[in-house]
Parts: sequence; structure tokens; C-alpha cells
Amino acid sequence: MKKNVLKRRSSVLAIVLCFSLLFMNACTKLDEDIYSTIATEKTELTEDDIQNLVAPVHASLRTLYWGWDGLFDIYEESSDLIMTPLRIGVGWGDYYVAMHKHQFNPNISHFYGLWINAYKGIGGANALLDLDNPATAKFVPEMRAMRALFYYYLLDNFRNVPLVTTQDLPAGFLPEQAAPQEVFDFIVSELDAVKADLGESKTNFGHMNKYAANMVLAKMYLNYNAWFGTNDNSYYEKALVELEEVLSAGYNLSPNYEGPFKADISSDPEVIFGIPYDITYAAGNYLSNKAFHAASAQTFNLSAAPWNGSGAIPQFIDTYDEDDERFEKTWLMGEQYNYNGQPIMIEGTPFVYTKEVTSIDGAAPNQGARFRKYEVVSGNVGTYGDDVPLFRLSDAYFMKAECLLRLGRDEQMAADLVTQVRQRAFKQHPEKAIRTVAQLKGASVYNYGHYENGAWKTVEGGGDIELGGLLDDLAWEFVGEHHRRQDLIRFKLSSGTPVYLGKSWFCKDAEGTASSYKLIFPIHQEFINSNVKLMQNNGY
Amino acid sequence: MVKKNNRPLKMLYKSVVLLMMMLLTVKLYAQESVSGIVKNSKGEPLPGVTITEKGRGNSVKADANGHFTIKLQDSGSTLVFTYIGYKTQEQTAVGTGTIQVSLEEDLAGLDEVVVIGYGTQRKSEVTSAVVSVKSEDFLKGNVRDAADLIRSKVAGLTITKGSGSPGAGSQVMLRGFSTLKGNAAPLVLVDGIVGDFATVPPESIESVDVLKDASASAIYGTRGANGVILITTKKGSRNEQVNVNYHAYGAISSFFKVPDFMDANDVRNGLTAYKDLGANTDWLDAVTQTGISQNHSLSIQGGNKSTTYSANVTYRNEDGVMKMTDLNSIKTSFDLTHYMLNDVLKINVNLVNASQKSNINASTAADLSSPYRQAVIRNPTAPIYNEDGSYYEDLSVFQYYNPVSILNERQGDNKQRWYRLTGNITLEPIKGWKTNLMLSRRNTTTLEGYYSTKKYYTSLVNGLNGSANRNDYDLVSDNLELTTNYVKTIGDHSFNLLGGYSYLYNEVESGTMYNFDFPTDVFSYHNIAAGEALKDGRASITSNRYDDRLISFFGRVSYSYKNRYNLLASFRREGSSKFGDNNKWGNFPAVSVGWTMNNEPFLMDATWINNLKLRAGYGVTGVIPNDPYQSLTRYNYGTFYYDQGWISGLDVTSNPNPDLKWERSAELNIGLDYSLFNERVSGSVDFYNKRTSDMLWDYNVPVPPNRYPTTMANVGKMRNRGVEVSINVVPVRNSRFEWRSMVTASHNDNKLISLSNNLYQTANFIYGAYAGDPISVPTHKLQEGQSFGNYWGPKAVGVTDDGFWLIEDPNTGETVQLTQNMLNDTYRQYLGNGVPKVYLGWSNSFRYKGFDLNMQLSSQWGFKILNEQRMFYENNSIAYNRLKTAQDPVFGIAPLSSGQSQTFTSYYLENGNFVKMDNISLGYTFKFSKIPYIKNLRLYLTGQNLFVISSYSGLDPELTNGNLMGAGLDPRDKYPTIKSFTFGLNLTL
Repeated sequence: MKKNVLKRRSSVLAIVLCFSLLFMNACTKLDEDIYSTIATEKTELTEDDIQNLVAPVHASLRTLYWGWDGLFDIYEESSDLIMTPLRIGVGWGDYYVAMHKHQFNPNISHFYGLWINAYKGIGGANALLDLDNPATAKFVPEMRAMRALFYYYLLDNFRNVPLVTTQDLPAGFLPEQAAPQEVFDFIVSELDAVKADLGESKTNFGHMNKYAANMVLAKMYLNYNAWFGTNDNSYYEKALVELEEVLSAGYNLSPNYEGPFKADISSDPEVIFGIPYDITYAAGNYLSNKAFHAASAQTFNLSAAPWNGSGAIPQFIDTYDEDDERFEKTWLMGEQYNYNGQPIMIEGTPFVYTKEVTSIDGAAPNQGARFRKYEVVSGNVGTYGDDVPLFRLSDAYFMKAECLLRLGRDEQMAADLVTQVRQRAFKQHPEKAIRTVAQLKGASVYNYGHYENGAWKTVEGGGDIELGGLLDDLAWEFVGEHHRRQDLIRFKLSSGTPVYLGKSWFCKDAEGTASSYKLIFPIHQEFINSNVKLMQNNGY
Repeated sequence: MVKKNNRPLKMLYKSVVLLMMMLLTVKLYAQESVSGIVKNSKGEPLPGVTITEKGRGNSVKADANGHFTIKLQDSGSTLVFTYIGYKTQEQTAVGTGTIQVSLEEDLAGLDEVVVIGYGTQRKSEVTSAVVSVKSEDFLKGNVRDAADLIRSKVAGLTITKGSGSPGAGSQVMLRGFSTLKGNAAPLVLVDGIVGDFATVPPESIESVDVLKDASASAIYGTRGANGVILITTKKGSRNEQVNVNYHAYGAISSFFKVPDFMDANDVRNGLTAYKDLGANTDWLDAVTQTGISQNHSLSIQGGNKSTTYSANVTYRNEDGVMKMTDLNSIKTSFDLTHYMLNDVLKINVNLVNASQKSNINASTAADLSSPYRQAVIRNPTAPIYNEDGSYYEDLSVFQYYNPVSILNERQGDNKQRWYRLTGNITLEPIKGWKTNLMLSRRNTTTLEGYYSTKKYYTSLVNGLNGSANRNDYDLVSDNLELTTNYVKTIGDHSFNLLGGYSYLYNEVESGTMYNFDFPTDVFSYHNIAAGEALKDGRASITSNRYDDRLISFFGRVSYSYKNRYNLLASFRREGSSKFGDNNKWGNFPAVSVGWTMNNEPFLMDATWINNLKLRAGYGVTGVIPNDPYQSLTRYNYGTFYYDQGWISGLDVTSNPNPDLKWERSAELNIGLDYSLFNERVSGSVDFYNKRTSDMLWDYNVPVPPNRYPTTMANVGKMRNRGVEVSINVVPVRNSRFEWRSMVTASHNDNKLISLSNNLYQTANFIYGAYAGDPISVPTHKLQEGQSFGNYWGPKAVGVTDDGFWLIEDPNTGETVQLTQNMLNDTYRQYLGNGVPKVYLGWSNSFRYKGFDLNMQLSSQWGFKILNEQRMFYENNSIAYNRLKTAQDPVFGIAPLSSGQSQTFTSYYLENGNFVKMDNISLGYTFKFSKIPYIKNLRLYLTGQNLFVISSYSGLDPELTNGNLMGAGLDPRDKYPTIKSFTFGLNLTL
């Protein structure tokens, strides 16, 4: 009996031991199996995969522009053209109020979106360039150009930014901010280096060609003095060199002002570089929702009700010439009509967008003219699929005109360039299209001053703005096109203070040069928190 | 020489063997039978008592009438009588007559068996903080899931239910918050298999055991840091008569409290911004009903000499107080055990199968589609329907939809099915050495489908023209566990050795489908391809699959000397595929000791002390990341780019972290168990100090150079310490009347020590929670040196004469008017905490003849509630309906101005202290001594959530919050809690 027990015991032991040994090898493996995701630790990327790594760079540019709190907001919300008030019973206000009043602080999410999307794009481009793989060689010029474009936006808005040009970095690497001049030089040298390789094709929509690089360089040179506080005319000459290449490339002004703002601009003759969007593959432009009151859904036969946010600053609306055809193509104002031309009624009264807006801190739902420059497609689409004309020929015309006026030579040529662009805006009144040198160099017709609750707190006018007429023309042509903040900083009062600081508009007050730190934005607190080496911009 | 010398030895050996065999034979012939009867102290027969011959191991069970017959191997042996809930008793079997044994109830439960994971211990041997709740102590009434059974029964285990939705589960939390990102709920094991409270029919549960401290839970390694709850289901026992039980109850319920909003007259008097639309509608009434639920449960259990079985079927149907929030479920369980080869081999099969179907509204997230939210904010003068029968809507008001339409025009079901199949083979080749192989498969599938008709608001507002969703989820979890256990007593020394291996594999597949623009509403979501959006490329389909492995080796030693000194030491080495390549395996040791002082000679004379045991334990446990692949650089297709057409591109979706590992938690626990005055007073006290390090969180990482702004990493440190007390008192106990009373109390103190290490230097705080749209500001801040749940916002000190907020500028102490540009940290300060300092539970049970009465009170002290309903609706700027209190002057000065937009200030924080009557249950048990087929019948009446004593002005101060860092938020879009009355009957045949 005892023997039996022992026998049984040892056989059981053997079974258990064998069993465990069997499992020792197979069952201590902790590999992760992947199924519906790709991980570079687990799978080699194929050549096709590698080619597709360009996607995030393009996607970052899309999101940079039309992600929430994107470039549209960055250049308009702090300007004298567009604002987003607290709409009573609706919402908004919030940090848009801080943007309007220039009460910038490191927690405003606009500063998060711009930075994160630019550096995601830069990181994507770096990663592709690091590969140094024959499969990606053809993307190298484009990736370097796009990386430079991202840095251009970072430099313009934050100035003191890290310059990271590779992803091949040690774990825990914390980059420091580069000197602004170093970033400037990097952008210029990169664009100069790849300009020729980008090619001159005008049909490869959505991809930077040589002329797109010219445009970035021209903008860099045009703004150099404003960015670096210098007064060096050679940069305007450099800009002109870049612009001449663009102007002689064979682009043409679109016959109609709305041409570059159609949903599909891939074949518009004026567009030098456009960001492609698509309702299905890459929806982005939420402008119709941000700007329109729900009732405007009837105007455009939209199936969804817009969110009723942004409106025009009333003083800007006053600057328009009554015969400027761009007004109707840019703004919805006054009595509103439905798709069939019948007046829109709300609870028995006609629906009207008023020019007047009470205050940034409290506006009625129907106050303020609404931005409608981009094509509004009926149904579910709205503006979501609208491409963005990042650089267009009119811009080159205006930049050349500005350079000439600032250099004080060929001034009539400058006036002619502006006139040429204005001609399609005054088809019924061609005489009004003509702008003289005196007009361009003269006063701004913008009646600056703090205008709130229907009353003037200060009246400042625009008489003391240098090149005030040109500044007005820039607004009429380029409102809502990532222009205005840069323009207001570059244009100065006779005192030397940038218009951006020195003038009041709507509920924003004029400030002196003591507030010059506001010419760049603070770095968002999230980035300061996650990188101890980052220094907040002075003044914030 | 050698041979010669050997011969006598051989002979001696032979004769000894012969002698032994003869003696054995004699003994066998001397075998005798003893029979008897076992009764309880009241003289009632006790069925099922185990009678063992001491030192021999042969045992029998008492039959239904308490009778037993045992064949003795030694004449004059001692018989040991054991039975759960009763003190073990020994008696010498003298002669062949009938012995009468009266077992005494074990109130302190020292001989109670406590489940400690991979085995059991007698309560007297336990050296760590382990609490066992047996089925007879479970709460009765309208029990939704197993968590309801043990509410307030375990000090330190917080079970709260802040929603009245039939689909809502309880929030269960042990010893405070110790994790930021990982799963904060305790590990729940049902018969050793991972499960959750909802998957077990409450009627089939035998006991719930809670491993509170790390010295006990470290045997569960990376999953043990939040404690472990072990649910043991009912099993049949050998030689048990068939036991059939039918338990049924019905319950009616209504909202515990409803808010007081402006009515039609108030609107007509101009107290809101609404126009008078002529009607008079009680919107809340239009979307609610009397909730009715019914629950039927049938159980059978029994066993013969070699086979035991038990089975249960439970059906439940619940119609929620909110209309269209119904739920029904059928849960079945089956257990079969067979003993073979003279008990050397035991085979067990256990099967659980359940399905549940709930209306999609029952599980709706709190957002603008909440029918409750839309009902309270709606114009009470608005009609429900237009004259033509269509819903009355006014879409010019932002996020404002007809709640009746919301309920009626979005229809669909959430169907869940789960099964669990477990097989055990136990080999016990020699007494005391058991080896068990457990194999199990657990499967959960969910199919959720719903359709929003052309009348639903998304069709009207977003132009969807009918939209359908169909989502599926399938989890398969396979588990293999091989354990071997050896028990040995040598003199005064008792050992219990355990070794084991566990392999757990989880695999999930899921998918979603979404389409809209349907030609007709007829199809609902059943013909999802019919929507036009699919053809336009605007429909969406997703599918997803992931898996993970968890592998462990573990061992445990327990040692006891003279029942005075006890020691338990365990070790687990565990690895998970979720960890990064540099940290695949972790070690989790634990040790605990107990000193039973009353068994020491110097306390032998203190007869008033029944039990006094000092315990101390230390253990290391972990928290595992929730999701797999967090350590990898992941890419995904689906980011399109344009190149003469749209091309799908590859985008990075995470930063890698090859160092990713478990969150480490080290806990010291010191406790005292006591039982005094003839066990009239008993209980325990526990102190713990738990330090969590390598805390998992999605830390912000610098961009650049990272391409993704967060990385899951192990960085922070946190400390929790606290005390738990439980006191059981039996003030009266006699054969006719008994009163038992139990108090549980716990306090936890939490402190975040750090959020940075060398590699990850982040801000020293996290905004824990935000107020919802349109207020959108932080309400909580978790900062280094501070604790979980701290409110962070402007401190209101008054209002201007025209009703605008005045706050205290925390930098200057001056009073300033709160303006839009002050909504930043400069003007915020700490405003108190949302985590209760003290949790209390007090239960009383009375038994008088056949009557039993149970009362359960729960209480929370020392916390503030953010009354979101007031924050959003006690405001005069909103376009919506308002609370009546919006007219009341704030700080006695003036009501809020119509220009003062909604915002978060300290004014909306209220003292949350409360005492709540959770449960009162009155029952009567009938005895049927004359009817042979009925054993007993109990009828009972239960009231749940009956009243609250609190100064809180909101609906219910008992809150659950999915985001632990937002503790104390009483959400705006809730499904209000309910009170219910239950009538039940429990019949045993």
C-alpha cells in the first residue's frame, strides 16, 4: 500500500514536472501581437509604407490651418477685422475675448494649436529625412520646404522657438530655443537649397513648387524689419527678387474675386500654393459653422444648423466703398433670404444681421456681419471641403507694391499693381478701382477708437498710419486670409508704434510701445511645463 | 561475514511487518459505528454538519434532520464537528449509543473559513486585513448587482451608486485613490476567474471576501494594488439532501428627489427668458414613470457520497423611472463536482451563462442628449406636440431639444452575453497534498445597435436624415492555473505551502458601423447599408483587435505555532506583454505576522477576552496599464494626403516608451482583531500606509522633439494612509430575541508627492476635472503636496448690487469683480475637497421569533459637493429654464444679473455631509414542520434609499464619479437616483 502511494506520488510528480517544463518555454513569452495597428518595433515598414509617411506632414499643415484654434483665428481674432464675442444664450466669448482685447496669456488654446501642429509637421518631415531611404528621395525637397514653412509660422508668432532638424535624438532630449536669427537663416537657407528641386509645375496641387518657396522667402524678407526691429531696406530688395520670379511664372489673377475661395481651387489660375481639403477625406474648414447664425442654414440650404460665433468688427465694415463688389462676396449683412429668395422669418419677424455689435463681452445672436468669403456648399458640406489658397498671385502683387512703396521707388508701378487687383472688385465702377500713390501712402479710412455699447470711448481715426491706404486695401482684399495680424504689426503709426498696439478698435484699447512684448504670443503653458529648458517669451 | 550478520535483521524485519499487519487486521475488525444527532443551541437539527474522526480523516455529513452515522477506525476516537458559522466542537465517541451534540453559533467567526486567494484560512489564522461577508449577512431588497450585497459591510470598501439607471453599476473603491491612470477598481475574481459584480447572480453567491492590504493581495501581483474581492459561489456539499430554493421579488421605484425648476406660471410672470407659449407641461413628468422591477431566482443544490451539484437560474426585468430605460437579464450557473479513486481525484466543472438586454437610453452618456437635462431646461409653457401631432421643437435655441422626442425617436438595444467555463482537476495523492489544474475560458460579447429617426434632433439639426449605429465587442479570456498545496501539522507547528503558475490570455475584437441618410425609418439599424451616406463615403466602419498576456509564478508559506504565532509570506513574479521591453517582469513579495495574545499563558485567565490578535503585514503590489501596446511606436493608416487624388497615409499615433512598467505600491498594515465579553463585542482596527510610486499617467512630453504630446510613463509618487474600524456588538441574545449591531468606519488621507522624475519633468499639477460646456474651466487641481479631489477656482465673496460676482483676489486678498479675463489661475485658489474624510456604515439586525428586521445606514463626512445643477441653472443669463432659486439674492445682496454668464465659483460648493437610510428590511419566516415538502418560507418588505439627513440642496449627496480626480462633482446631466420598495418571498423546499 505504502509502495503504491509512493509510486503514485512519483508518477504524479513526473507529470507535474513535465507539464511545467512543457510550459516553461512556451508560456513565459510576453511578446505583444499586433493586429489593427502598426508598430515599428514589431514590423518593418514596407516601401509603400515609407512613401506614405509624408501624409502626417501634409495633415499637420491642414490641421495647422483649420484645426480648432488654427491659423485663421491666429491671424484674425486679435485683429481689427473679425472677433468672436460672448453670444448671449449661445456661448463663445471665453478666450476669444482675451484674443480680441490683447489680454494674451499662456493658457489660450490658440497658442497650443499652432505650436503643436507645426512641430508635428516638422517632426514628420524630420523623420522622413532621417530615413535617408531611396524610396523617399523624391520627397526630400518638398519635406524640407514644408518644414521651413512650419518654422516660418512659428517664427512669426512665437519668435523664440526650438530648432529641431532631426528625430534621431537621445531619450529625454530637451531642446532649447534657438536665436530668432538662427531660425530665420535656417528657413532661408533651406528654401534656397531646395527651390530649384521643387520644380515649376503649376498642376501638382497641394504641393509646394518653386514659387511657393519664393512666396515664403518674400514674406520672410518683407517682415524682417518688423520682426527684428531693424530698418534695413535690403530685405525689401531681396523680397522683390523672389516676387519677380513668381510674377513672371505665368500665374494670372482669377477673373472673379471669389475664384480662389471656391471649394475646389486646384485649377484656379491665381493660386500658387493651396492646402487641399475634402469633405470625405480631409474635412476641415468649419468657417460656415463658426460664423453663421443657425438661420443662415436656410440661405445656403445647409442641412445642419451653424453655431453662431464670429462676426465683423463694425468699424471695419464702415471702411468699405459702397461699390466695392468684394463686400457682398465677403460678408452677410442686413436682411437675410433663404435658398429660394424668400425672407427668413424668426417668430414672425424678418431675420437681420446687424452691422452693430454691442460688446465683445455680450452680443445678441444676430449682431455682426458674417464672413462668407469661402464657398458655402449646400447640404452637409458647408465650407468643410473648401481648399485654402495659402499663397495667391494678388498677394505677390501687393507685396511687390508694398516693397516699392517702402523703398520709395517705382511708386506708380506699386499703385498700378494695387489697381490691377482692384479692377475685378469694381467691375460696375472701373474708375473706383484706381488707387493713386497718394491714396496708398495717405491716411487709413478706418475710424480707429474704442467703440463699445454703441458709444465712442476714444476716437482715434487712421490719419497717422503710414501707408494707411495700402493697409486698408490689404484688409479689403485679404480679410480672413492669415494676413491681418502680420500687416498690423508691419504697418506703423507716425510715432513708430505698430498699428497692432497703437490703435483701439471695438473693445480693444490702444497701447504704447511698453506693450511691445505683445507683438509675439506667449508660448503655451503646456509646452513650458513639459520642457524645463523653454523660456517664456518676455512680458508673459 | 556480511551475509551472516544480516540474517537476524531480516528476520526481525519480517516479524515486525507481520506483527503490524496483525495489529492492523485486529483494528479493522474493531471498527465500530457511532450515530448521533447534531442540533443548534435552540435545539433545532443542523443538516450538513461535517463529522470527522480525529487523526483519521474519515468523515460524514449530517442529514437533513441532523442525523449521522460514522464508522470509527479507532474505538474511542474523538469526533470533530465542523460547520460554517458554528464553533468547531470535539467529542469523544464512547460506546455505541447515540450521541447528542449541540453546536454553538460562532459569532466572532473564528473558525469561519476565509478565502484568501488560491486557498482558504481559518479566520483565527489570518494575519492580514481580510474581511469576509457571508450570504446570511448580505443586504436584501432590489439588488442590482453583487456590490449592492455588501454596501457598508466592509470598512474601507466604498460602494456608491449615484445613478438611478437600470444599467448603472456601483462604483467600488478600496482605501482611497492611489492611481491616476490605471484601473482604480479592485480586482474582482469570481471563483478564481476575473469577473465583475454584474456577471454573477447575487442569489448564487456564498461569500464575498475582501483582501484589503497588500500583504494579502500581493499574491495577485500587478493587479492587486487596489485590493482584491473574491466572490465564491454556492456549491453543493457531499451527502447533502436536495435543496431547492425559489426567491422572487418585485419592486417599485421613483426618483429620490426632483429639482425645483420654474413652472409655467413663473414663465408667465417673466422669471425666465422664455416666451409664454400657452401650454402647461410638466416635462419631467412627461419622460418619467413609476419604475417596476421583478426578479425570480431558482436554485438547486445537493450531493451524494461522490458527487455534488448546484444550479441557479435568475431572471430580472426592470423598467426604469425614466421611460424607455428598461433592462432584462437571464443569468444561469451550474456547478458539478465528482470525487473519484477514494477521493484522490476530484473533477469539477463550472459554467456560468448570462445574457442581458437593455434599452440604449439606459446606458446613454451624460450629454446634451440626456432626456433628463432636456426635460428640466425646457420651457414649461411649451407643448409636447404641435397640433398636427409632430414634436414641438425650437431649434433656434442652442442645444435645446424635445426630451419626449429624444426618448421616442432614438431606439435600440445593448445586448450583452457572457459565459464562463471552468474545469478543475484536483489530485490529492496523499492527505494534505493537493495539486490543482484549472482551465477556464471567459467570453463576453456585446452587440449594440441604435437608430435615430428622421424626427430625432440630429436629423433636424445636423441634417442626418436618420442615422444608425451598430457596434460589437468580443472578449475571450483564457486562463490556465496550476497550483500545488501541502498542509502539514507536526506537533505544535502547522505549515501550509503553496506554489503555482498562472497564464492569462485576453483577446478583444471590436467593430463599429455608422451610416446615415436613410430612405425610410422602417429599417431601424437592421439594414445599415441602406443609408445613402455610405455611397457618398461619409459613413464609417471600424474594426479593431488586440490582445495581452499575463504570466506569473507564485508561492506562499503559512506557518502557525500553537495557534499563537502566525506567519504568512508570499511571492509573485509576474510579467505582462503590456510592459515595455526593458521591464517585462516584476517581483511582488509580501509578509505578514499575527500574534494571538489571548492564547498566551498570561492571558489564559482573562476569560472575558475571547480573541485578541495583533497583526502586521507588508506587501508590494502593482497596477497594470489598461491598454496594450502603450510601450510601442504605433502608426496608423487613415491620414489622407492629396497627390492628384486622395491617398491614405501613415501617421504616428504614439511615442514609444520601452521602460513602461507597472505602477508600484508598497503598503504597511497594522491591525488588531478583538472579541470580548463572551463574543458580545468584536471587530477589528487597521492602520495602513500605502506608498505608490512609478505612477502611470499620460505625461506631457516636450513637443519638439516628440511628435506626440503625451507619453504613458511611470513617474509620480503618492501616499495614502488611513484607519479602518469595525465594531460588532450583540446587545441582546437569547432564544427568542436577538439584536446585532455593526459599525464600520474608515478614513483615508491622500497626498501627491511628485509628478516628475529625471526623465519626465512636468508641471507639478494636473487639472483634475473641468466644468462642462459652456463653463469649460477647471474645477479640480491635483498638485504636488496636495490631495486628490481639491477644488480649484475663484472664491466668491459677494455680488455687486446689480448681481455680478465679486471674488477674492488670492494675491492681494482684495475683493474684485470677476470678469472674463480673470478666468485663469491667477484668480483661483483651493476651495476645499470633494473626497469624504470619513465613511461610516451602521447596520442593525433584530430577530424576534420568526421576525427579522434589518436596517442599514451609511454616512459620509467632511467633503464638499459641487452642485452643478445650481452652477448651470441657478443663473439668470441663460436661455433655458432655471431653478426657482435663481430668483434668490446671492449672499443676501441681489440675484445674479441677467448679464452674469454661468461660471464656476465657490458659491456652488456645498457641504456634503449626510446620513442615509440605505435599506430597511422586515421579514417573517414561516416554519412548516407539518408539511413535508416545504422547509421554510420567508416573506419580506424592503425600502431602499428612503431618506437622507443632509444640508445638501441638490438631489442626492451620494455621488459616483467616473473621473476620480473630479471627486465631489454632482453632474448636471445625471440619471437621478431612485428610492424603491421591494416585496419578496423566499421559499425553500
